[in-house]
Amino acid sequence: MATALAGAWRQPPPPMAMSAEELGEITPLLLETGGGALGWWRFQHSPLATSRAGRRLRRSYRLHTIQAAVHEHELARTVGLLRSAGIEPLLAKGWAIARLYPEPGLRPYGDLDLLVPPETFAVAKATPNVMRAGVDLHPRFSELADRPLDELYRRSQLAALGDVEIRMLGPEDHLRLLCLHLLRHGFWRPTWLCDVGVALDRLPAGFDWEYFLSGKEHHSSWVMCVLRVAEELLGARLDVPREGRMAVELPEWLVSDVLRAWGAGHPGYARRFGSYLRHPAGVLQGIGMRWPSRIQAAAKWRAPSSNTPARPLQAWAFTVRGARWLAGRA
Amino acid sequence: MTLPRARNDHLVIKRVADETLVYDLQRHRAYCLNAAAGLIWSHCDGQTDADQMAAVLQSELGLPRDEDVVRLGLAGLDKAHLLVERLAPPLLAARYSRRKFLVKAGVVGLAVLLPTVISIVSPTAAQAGTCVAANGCAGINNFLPCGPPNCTKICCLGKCRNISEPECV
Repeated sequence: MATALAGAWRQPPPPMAMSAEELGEITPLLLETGGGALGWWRFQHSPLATSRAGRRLRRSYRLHTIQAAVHEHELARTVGLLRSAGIEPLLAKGWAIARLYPEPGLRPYGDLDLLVPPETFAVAKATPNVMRAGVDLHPRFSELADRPLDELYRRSQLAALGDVEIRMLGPEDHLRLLCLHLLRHGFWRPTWLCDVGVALDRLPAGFDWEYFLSGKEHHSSWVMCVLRVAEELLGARLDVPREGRMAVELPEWLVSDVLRAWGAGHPGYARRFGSYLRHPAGVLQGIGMRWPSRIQAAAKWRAPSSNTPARPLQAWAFTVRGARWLAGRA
Repeated sequence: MTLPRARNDHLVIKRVADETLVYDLQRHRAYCLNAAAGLIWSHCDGQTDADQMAAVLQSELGLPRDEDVVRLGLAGLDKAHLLVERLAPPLLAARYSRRKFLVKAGVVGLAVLLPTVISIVSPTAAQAGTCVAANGCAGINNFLPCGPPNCTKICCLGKCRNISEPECV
């Protein structure tokens, strides 16, 4: 997977040798984790393009391409509706990173993640036709809780989507959010690391490394780890100037855990906690699906250099999450 | 006889290389038109008849100048609801299958060039990044996985259905 996706986002992607059998082996995983379109981009001009796996990747590319077009349509529509209600939304992920790929359909789309100022959140949600499925409004981005909202807006940028200007996070905030988001989800989707690779390739001149690494030091250390993993596994260009250097030791288990997470594919969606109270069957499976990985627990509760054993941390992370859920119900 | 006109409302259209990808925002369906079908569709302006379209296919793609090739494409577009009005009986009367045409033309190598309109569906629901509640599919596209249980279904035609249901394939 890592070999197939290394630099796959580039125009043109780097050449690579892979047999039809090898491609056939990784294709189901590429498809399952949303990397099918990137896979096609990588192999479209190779003899493998006409193999069975190549045809499956091409179908995935078509799907992602039209999905991207629909996503753009929805984004322009939603931003227009919010603006007409006097609200300026701030986009993260989705099109904000997809537009940096050679084609926006090379990455999968999920929700439309839009930040709106907390004081306008209720109005935004009540704006007719805004809260359709797939639109996710946030009064804050939890990954960027250590940054003032005013600063996020001040550093934000506008980019044209057709005749609509879309406001999105500035490059420093966005790259930080991308890194922390994939840590929170345990790295399971390889295309998230490709997003980081794309962002690193397309860093604007004057990227403010100092600001990028400001905020919670614990988070900054892990963010640097993500950049290092992107460099090591996917050949991302990590060219950090002196002022942006942060001495971080990559945990020796991290790269292998990332590869394991990729190999495991989609983690699935667990039932709501509350449903087990009424229907206890499957509770063990539910716990298993919510049990945080070593990456998730460590990124949340300890510095990369810490030697705290992982299992107690994972148990602690699970307990805290359960306690928060109970507190929310009380 | 009314000549075919392409629908252009409530559609998202994306042209990629020689293919045209279309998403129908009303029916929540996505289609891929190959070069010939895309060319036919782009000439469905209510003024171009089948013979004129056949001439375009011949000059642009090297297909034999045959109205039946155009009819084959129009039938696919009609089935996908990509025309403003359903086709008039004379155009549908000769609804040729690809095989019949190839037998008639005697050129099997033409198969990949014949107009094709195929439906695009998500190979696996997990390709998207979110899971819609089972009752949350109204009015949204068929790409998003939904559930319960375990988010293994997809939003299809406004409902959360099994990916194997005939209407979703």
